[in-house]
Amino acid sequence: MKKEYLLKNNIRRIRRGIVNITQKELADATGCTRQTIVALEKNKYNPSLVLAMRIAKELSVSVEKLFELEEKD
Amino acid sequence: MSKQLKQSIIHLIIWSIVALGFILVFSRENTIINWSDNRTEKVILAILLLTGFGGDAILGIMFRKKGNEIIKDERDIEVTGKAMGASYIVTMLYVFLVTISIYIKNESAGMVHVGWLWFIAYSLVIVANIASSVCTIIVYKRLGS
Repeated sequence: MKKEYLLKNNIRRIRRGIVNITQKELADATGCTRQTIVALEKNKYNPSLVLAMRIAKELSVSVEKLFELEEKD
Repeated sequence: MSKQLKQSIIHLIIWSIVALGFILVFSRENTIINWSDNRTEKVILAILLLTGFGGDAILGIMFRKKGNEIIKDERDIEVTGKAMGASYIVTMLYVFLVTISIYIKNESAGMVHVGWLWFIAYSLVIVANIASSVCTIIVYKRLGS
């Protein structure tokens, strides 16, 4: 049977806990809208590789630390 | 709420008003039958479509980019793409169902009033616009507004 995966992220935790920047600041720095950051933090939207890498760069973490793949039940 | 979503909601309101006017005009008893002689109805429908497209133009000006502001990103493009795909199917289904219905209704007569062609043409524009904004709103709700 084909396995299905869910892309989870730690953007909110790292943004608030380590880097301490607002959603608007992160959005402006990565060239997207604040609503996209909101959707990402709620795991409602999977970003493109470019956006994922830009967010990782802005938060000074690796993409692997920022995103994790979870197997769907 | 993103600017694109706001734009879609206003777009839906504008085209719903146009649709309401359209329904009122075509629900009058003799609009289809006396189509060739109905100058008033033609003018009203032209004004309605002008209202819809004029509203679109004003929306475009209202929501245009100001300075370095980001109003559309990759998520908005993805939402628009998905919504356009869905609204295309809805519009095609609408045309198919309406033409088949008109055919079945007039099958025994062997011909249809020319007014029905205008009905399909006008309603197609309205349905396409409403379907695109409804689909956009639905996809935004799914992918986070």
